[in-house]
Amino acid sequence: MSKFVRHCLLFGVVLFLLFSAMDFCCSKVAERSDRQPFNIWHDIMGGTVDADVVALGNSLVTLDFNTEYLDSTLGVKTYAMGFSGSQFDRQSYMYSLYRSRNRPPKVMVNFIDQRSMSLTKRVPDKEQFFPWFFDKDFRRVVFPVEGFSLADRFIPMWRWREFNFNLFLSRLDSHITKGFKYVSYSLSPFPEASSKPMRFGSDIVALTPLWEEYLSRNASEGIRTVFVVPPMYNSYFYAPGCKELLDSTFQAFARRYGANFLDYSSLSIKEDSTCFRDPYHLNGKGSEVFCETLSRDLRNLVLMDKNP
Amino acid sequence: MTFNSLVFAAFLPVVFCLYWFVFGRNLKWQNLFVVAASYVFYGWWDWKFLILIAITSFFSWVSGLLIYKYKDERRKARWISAANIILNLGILGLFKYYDFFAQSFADLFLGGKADGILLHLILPVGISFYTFQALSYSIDVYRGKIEPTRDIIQFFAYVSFFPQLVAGPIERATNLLPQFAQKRVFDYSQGVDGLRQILWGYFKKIVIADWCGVYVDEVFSDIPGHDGVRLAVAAVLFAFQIYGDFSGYSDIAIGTAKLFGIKLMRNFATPYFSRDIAEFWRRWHISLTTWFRDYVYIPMGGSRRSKARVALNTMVIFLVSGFWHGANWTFLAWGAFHALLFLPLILTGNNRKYKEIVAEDRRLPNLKEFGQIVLTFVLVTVGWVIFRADNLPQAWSFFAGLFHGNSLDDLKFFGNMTFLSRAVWIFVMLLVEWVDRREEHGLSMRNTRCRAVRYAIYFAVILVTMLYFDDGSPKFIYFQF
Repeated sequence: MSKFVRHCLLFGVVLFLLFSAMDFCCSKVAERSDRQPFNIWHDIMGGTVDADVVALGNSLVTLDFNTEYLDSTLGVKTYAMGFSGSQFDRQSYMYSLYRSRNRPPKVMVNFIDQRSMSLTKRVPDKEQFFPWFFDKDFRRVVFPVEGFSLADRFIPMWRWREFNFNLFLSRLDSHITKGFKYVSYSLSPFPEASSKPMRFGSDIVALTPLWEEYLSRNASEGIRTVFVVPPMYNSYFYAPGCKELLDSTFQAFARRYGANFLDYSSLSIKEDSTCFRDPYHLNGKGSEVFCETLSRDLRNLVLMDKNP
Repeated sequence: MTFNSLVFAAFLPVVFCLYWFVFGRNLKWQNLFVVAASYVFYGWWDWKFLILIAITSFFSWVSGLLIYKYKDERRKARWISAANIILNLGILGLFKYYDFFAQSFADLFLGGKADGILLHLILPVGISFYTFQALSYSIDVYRGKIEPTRDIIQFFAYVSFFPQLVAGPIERATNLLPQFAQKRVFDYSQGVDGLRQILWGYFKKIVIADWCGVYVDEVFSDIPGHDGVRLAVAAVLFAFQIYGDFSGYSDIAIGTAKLFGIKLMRNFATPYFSRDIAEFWRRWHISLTTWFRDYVYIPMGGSRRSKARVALNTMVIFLVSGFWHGANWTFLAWGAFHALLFLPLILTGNNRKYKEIVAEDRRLPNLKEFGQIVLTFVLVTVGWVIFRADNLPQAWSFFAGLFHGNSLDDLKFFGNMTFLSRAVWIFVMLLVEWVDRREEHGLSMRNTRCRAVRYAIYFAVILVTMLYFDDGSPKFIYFQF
């Protein structure tokens, strides 16, 4: 009997050590991965973002904010800090970590749309957090939102369950530069618009304190904030009344905190399907057309320090 | 509490240590501890339903004593036995079948208006299992197969023993009760084998059944929205889901019991390697099949009557077996379907043709055996569609949908990485079970002499099972029965 218990304990110890080593290896591979979203977290946590203009938002930033193009046209360093599938509560802790480990930017560009204003409980690609699980600062800001358990932290390999292997295995259909993902194809035919009811109106109230904290911090530290409403294919993703609420909310924020509000929802490319990867995101071609206008506005309104 | 929960992962080692180290010296205390642990296990779901188990246990125990007391007065003994059967089946019928019959009555005579006569009672988890186990005791006492126990704790432990309380195997008093009457001695090799069996059970449940379930649920929730190829794949995946789920549960239960020095009966014996339906039923849910054989089929005359009577007996046994699974016409239809497949075999005397394991002395089956295995699997899978459907029209639309909207493009879906990376584990399961088909479970390791290989397999199975574990993992299918 005691032999059995002894052997079980020994087996458990060996298992723990083995899985700990595997966990360490998996974390290291993920940390060094050039795939998104690991590369963005790597830059943030490693303090290597090094940019004057940083865009913050969900996957719209990743695909629309063309850092290659903007770097050359603006003559300053830019970075696309996209957090796919995220809402502002998640973007907020990403920003907090970015600020604690990197030099401050001059301009923060916030991509806003109704999706990023609605709350969901689903953790988007939870694997992206794993390499930094034992970083104290990371745990302090990320864990309260994502709700990882003690088992996730202390049982090796436990957090890797339901791992999305596609994050590593899928072929790269694009090249990535400072958070921006250049996609060369366009999707055709486009799927019909989603008919799901939008929850924008109710969630913006819950997110307002976070926005106010973020905007007042930027204002007090002399960082200019710019709200950008990106173009979408035929404005598919705006439910009735939603765009008006988005505009009025963020125009009010802009007035209160001295920010800029740039609306590109009616840009002419919104009807050109060859500029879109899908109805929501631009492709490489579209991002260049969009960023041409964006860079002009940023230069005129912000970097030259003119107010609209 | 379910086996696939973190609570159980903490519960089992604690109960194991207390069972052997604290209560191991005194049989009575050990049995009492088994009852307490089992009631905590069951009460974790809903403590109020513990009263039903207690009632079932108490009246079955008392009836056993009374039947034995009047063993020379058969008439009295028969009445006592009948009263106990009526009481237990009455409770089962009330909770499980009352609404079904009331609704059917309303459909026939009240134009479907059943609002006033339905009870909407919650179905207690595992009620069919422990009721049948308790019934087998009093029937066996009545038949003189076993002497009743005077120790009520022993009997309560027999009915409520937590590893098999909610989904079997449905034990017989002749096997399990004497084990609670003897002092248990821990057997190292039995303990190790128990752990292996538990591990294999978790693999089947978490890696196979839960994944198959996601796909199957999606398809069955929108049958017209899926083409024939996807429906066919869903049917096959359901066959593996229900096998992984139920045989996985049985493996965990039997393995857990071994840790407590208790040997439970085998419930599955690689049923998907059967060469005909009769062999399938000797290998699938063995504890229930043999229960119906011993307590219903043989008392009705079994196969030693005229062919017409044998056919009737066979039909009755399959219908009752189907109805045991739940109050739905689909289960009756499923039972009838299997009866129709079974009847030709029993009427021609071919129902016991394949008693030995397939390819007993060979590594692989021959072509004929392989064809038989595939054909039997297809027939069983057709039955599973009826079993899985919410109602008979849905089952019919599923079969009709198999022949609609098929194109080779549909097959592309099954080539994606996510699907293939999970589907490959079904083949791993089949391969492992084929290699160990002569053994009690897939991870018996009797053919793996090299210790390093054995441990590599343990680590791999644990890792894969852990990686596929989902916190919101669904309950075991057979809990609802």
